[in-house]
Amino acid sequence: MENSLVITTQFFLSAVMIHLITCRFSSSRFMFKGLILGVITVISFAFFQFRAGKVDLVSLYLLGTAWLGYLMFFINLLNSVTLKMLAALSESKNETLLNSDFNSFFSEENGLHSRISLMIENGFLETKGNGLILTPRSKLMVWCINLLRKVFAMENESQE
Amino acid sequence: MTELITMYENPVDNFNIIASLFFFFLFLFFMIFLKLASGEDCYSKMNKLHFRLYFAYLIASGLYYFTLSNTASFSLLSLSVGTFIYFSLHYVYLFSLVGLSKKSISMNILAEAQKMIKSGRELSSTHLLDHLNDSSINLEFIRENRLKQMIILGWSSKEGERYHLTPKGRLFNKMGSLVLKIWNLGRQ
Repeated sequence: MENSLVITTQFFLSAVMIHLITCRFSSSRFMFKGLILGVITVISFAFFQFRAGKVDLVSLYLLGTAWLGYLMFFINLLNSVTLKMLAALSESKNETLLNSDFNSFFSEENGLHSRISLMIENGFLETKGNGLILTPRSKLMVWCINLLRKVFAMENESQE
Repeated sequence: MTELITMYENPVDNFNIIASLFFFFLFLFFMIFLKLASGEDCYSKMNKLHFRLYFAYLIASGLYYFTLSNTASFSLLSLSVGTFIYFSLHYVYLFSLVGLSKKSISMNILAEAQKMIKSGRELSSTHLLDHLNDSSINLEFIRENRLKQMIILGWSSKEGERYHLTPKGRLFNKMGSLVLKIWNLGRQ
């Protein structure tokens, strides 16, 4: 187990270093680069184990999950509305803001209109005449979310 | 195939790994059965139970070791791996799914759009926006919810209509900004 964990850590840290270097050169497509690098790292690790004659599923899980956790940490850090509001509060004069001061910040950054436009742009909604329709991809996503809400008893909740 | 896929020689190692999965699924069962994901303070309720079952996992691991102490050796390493599996299944996977179902603005917009279609209402940007503003997915509700969350997390304090940054909030913001700076990333 020890050897396997040492090698897992080496693979993970190498991937982090490569990701850090690529981000230092160019921060564009951070998520895409991260996902590709993660997939390549896990496949390489599995191949490495296969060649060595022993596949350790636990260490493969550890590597894959550690990478996913690493990416999620950055996704939350970049996109969390709460963290954006915290940053706005921190950058304000005397580190204090009125409730109304968050209005412009919030509506600019996360307006529902811009969300809908982004969904059309990314193929989750389609325009048809003057109306909108849900694409098969978004129907599947809504079905999955509704199922989760049913299983976890969250059917009558949103935006808690 | 069984020879290719490794099982560990020490039975305590195998137990620590399998027990972490067992206790996570036990937690999942209780979470669904007790409806812990519903309600406003769902995260704290879920975390409380998750932590309690972690102690049950540690006790089970200790008991198993003592029953086999003559033939097997204690392994802090496999206990750490089991701990990682137990916590990662919760925080990396389950928590994300619950968060996505409850808090994702985009997912809520799509779900409301489908509700409108099912109820035979016309779906257009204007109609959807009107519907969202009437529902709980309006900007004011979301903003108030996030401001409340900052207070619950201890990142800000409120005096009348004014929000103040707390030392904890300042520290979190500095740490986040530093990490983003090292990775050359910026919030949009």
